[in-house]
Amino acid sequence: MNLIYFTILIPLISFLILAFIGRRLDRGNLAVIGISAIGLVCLLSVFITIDFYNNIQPDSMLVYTRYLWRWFSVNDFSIAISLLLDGLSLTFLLIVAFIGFLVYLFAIGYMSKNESYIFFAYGNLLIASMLVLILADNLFVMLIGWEGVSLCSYLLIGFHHKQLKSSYAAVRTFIVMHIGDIFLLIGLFLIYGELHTLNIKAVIALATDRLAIDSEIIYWITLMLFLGAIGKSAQLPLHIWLTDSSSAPMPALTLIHSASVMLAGVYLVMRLNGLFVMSNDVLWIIGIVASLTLIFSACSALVQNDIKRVIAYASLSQICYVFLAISVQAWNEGLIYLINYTVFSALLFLASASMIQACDGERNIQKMGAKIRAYPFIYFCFVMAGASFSVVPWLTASFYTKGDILWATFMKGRLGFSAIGLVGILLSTLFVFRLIFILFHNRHRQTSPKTTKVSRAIYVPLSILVILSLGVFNSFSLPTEGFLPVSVLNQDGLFSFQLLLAAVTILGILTTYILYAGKNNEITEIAGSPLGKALTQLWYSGWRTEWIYHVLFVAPYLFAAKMVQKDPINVWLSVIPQIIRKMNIRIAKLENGHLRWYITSIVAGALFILLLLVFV
Amino acid sequence: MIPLMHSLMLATALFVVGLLGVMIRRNLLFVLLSLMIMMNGAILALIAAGYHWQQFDGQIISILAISAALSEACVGLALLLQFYHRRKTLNIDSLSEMKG
Repeated sequence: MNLIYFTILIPLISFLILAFIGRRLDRGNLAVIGISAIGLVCLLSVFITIDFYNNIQPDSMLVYTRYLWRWFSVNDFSIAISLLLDGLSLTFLLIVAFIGFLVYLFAIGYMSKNESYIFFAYGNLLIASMLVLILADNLFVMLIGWEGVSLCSYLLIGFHHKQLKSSYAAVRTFIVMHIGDIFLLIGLFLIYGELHTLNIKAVIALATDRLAIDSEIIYWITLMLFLGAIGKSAQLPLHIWLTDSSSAPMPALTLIHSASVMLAGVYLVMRLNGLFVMSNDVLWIIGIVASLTLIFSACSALVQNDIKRVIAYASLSQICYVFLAISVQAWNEGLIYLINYTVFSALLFLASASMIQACDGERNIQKMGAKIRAYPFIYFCFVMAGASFSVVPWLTASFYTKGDILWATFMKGRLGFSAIGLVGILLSTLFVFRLIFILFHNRHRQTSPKTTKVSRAIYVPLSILVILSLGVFNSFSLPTEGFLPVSVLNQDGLFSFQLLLAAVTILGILTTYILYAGKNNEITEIAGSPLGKALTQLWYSGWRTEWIYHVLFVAPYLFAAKMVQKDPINVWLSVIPQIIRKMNIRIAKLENGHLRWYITSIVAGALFILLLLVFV
Repeated sequence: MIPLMHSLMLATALFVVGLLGVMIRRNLLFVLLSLMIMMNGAILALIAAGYHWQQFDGQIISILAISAALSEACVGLALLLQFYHRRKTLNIDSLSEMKG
C-alpha cells in the first residue's frame, strides 16, 4: 500500500510523454505507452487490494493514510497532500482502473493512430485526476482532481474540435460542470466556516459532534455538495452537458460514462455520507431529482434515432438508481449497483461502438443494421447488455443489485420511489430492446448498408464485460464496513418482490417485441396519433430542455449583453469629461494676451474678494 | 482739520480714476499716466492716515513710494520708447502676440 501514489503518478507521466512526443511515436509504441500506464495502475490496484485484505482485521475498519508532503500552510490553515485508502476508495480505485483498462484495450483496435494518441493522452490525464479525486483525504486536494476531471471531459468531448458542433458541446460541458463546481465550492466554504477543517475524516467526525441533525447549516452544506455532485453525475438540472457529448468518439464516451466522470459525483456523495445522513430533507431532494432524471432520460432514450444519444440517455437513466439508493440510505446497495452499472453500461457502449464501426460510421439506427449471422458476437453482447438494463431475472447481476435498491426503497416506505424505479425498469426494457430489435431484427430495411470488418481485438474486453455482468458475481462482498452506514433490510417477501420484478421485465420485453419486432404497425400507429406525435417530438428534443435553458438563461443573458453593449454607466461617466472639456474651451478663450483684459479680471477678482471680506 | 474720511475718499477716487484709466485706455502713454494717478492716490492715503494718527511712518513711506513711482515711470517710459520704436504705434492691444 506504500506504492499507492504510483497509481496517480504513472498515468500522469504517461500523459506527459504522450502529450509531448506522442505525435512522433508509431502505433505500437503509442499503444504500449498508453496501455501500460493503465495496466500498471490495474496491477497496482490488485496488489493494493490483496495487501488491504491481508491487513484487515475482523470487526474493525482499516484506514490507510499515506502522507506525502505539506502543500501550504497559512496560520492554522494547513493543507497536507496525503492519500487515503479505505474500503470505499479501494472500490472506486478498482472500478476506474479495470473499466479504464478494458476501454483502452478496446480503443487500440478501434481508433486510428492520430486519434488514439490524443485519446490515450487525455484518457490518462482523466484517470490520474479521477484517482486524485478518489484517493484525496482532504476536500481541498479533492478539488484538484475534481477540476482535472472537468478539464478532461472538456478535452475528450471536444475531441473533434475542428467541427464547430463538437467545440460547442465541449464548451457547454465545461460551463455546466463549472456551475456545479461553484456550488461545490460554496459547500466547501460552508464546511470550513462551520468546522474549520477540510480533512474528510475530521469533517465527518466534527459534523456529527457539533451540528444538529436536520439543522439549517447541514441542509445548506449537503444541498450545495449535492448540486456540485450532480454537475458531474449529470442529474436533471445539470444534465445538458451529457446529451450533447455524443460528438466524442465512443471509447472517450465510455470512459466518461462508465469509468470516471459520472462516478465522481457519486463518489463525493458516498465519501461524505456522514453529512448526508444528517439531512433528511436533502436525501428526499436527491430521491426526487433521481426519479425525475430517471423518467426524463428513459423517455428520451425511447425515441432517439442517433445510437450515441440512445445509449447516452440509457446510461444516464441507469445511474439514477444509485441516487435513489442514496436517498433511502441504502449506501451498500448503491455501491454494489454502481459497480454493476459501470460494467453493463461499458458493455453497451463498447458493443454500440463496434456496431458503428461495423456499419461504417453510420449512427442513425433506422439506417444501421446488420445480419445477426454476420456479427453474432456483437449481437450477443447487445443482448447481454440489454438483459442487464432490463434486469432479466436470475441471469444478470443487475437483477439482484437493482432489485435490492428497489427493495430498500420499498422497505423504507418510499413507495413513490419504488414505483418510479419499476416504471424505469419497464422503460429501460423498452428502449434497450427497441434498440436491439431495430438494429438486428428489422426485416423491412430497404437498403442494406455497407458493412466493414470489425477488428478482432475488441473480443477480449467485451467478453470480460459480459462475464462480469452475470449474476454469479452478486455474492462478492465489499470491504465497506464502517465507511458506509449499513442498513439491514428485512428479507421477508424479497422473493415475491423479485417475482414482481421478473414479471415487469418479461412484460417489458414482450411489449417491445410486439411493438418493434413485428411488422412495425403498432408503433407507427401509436407514434402517428396526435398525442403520440407530440410526445415523440417532446421526448426527441429531450423534453425541450434546450429550449427551456435558452429561454431561461441564454435569452436573458443575450438581452442583458445587448443592453450593456452601449455601456449605460459609461454614458453617465463620460458627462464629467465633457463638462470639463467645454469649460476648458471657454476658459482658454480668456487667455487672449490683452493686457487690459487681464487687469480688468484682476480687478474684478480683487473686488470680489474685497466684497467677501466686507460682507461675509 | 480735514476729517480722515474725506481725504481717504479723495484718495480712493484718485485710485479708481487711475484704475479705470488703466483698464480703458489703449494708448500706452495714458496707461502710464493712469498708473501714476493710482500711485498718487495710494500715497495720498498713506500721508492722510499717518497725519491722522500722528505717526510719521506714513510720510516716510510715502517718500519711499514716490521714489518707487518715479523709477517705475522711468522704466515705463523707456519701455514705451522701445515699443514705439519697434511698432510705430502706442496701442497696447497690439501687444497680445504671446497669448498669455
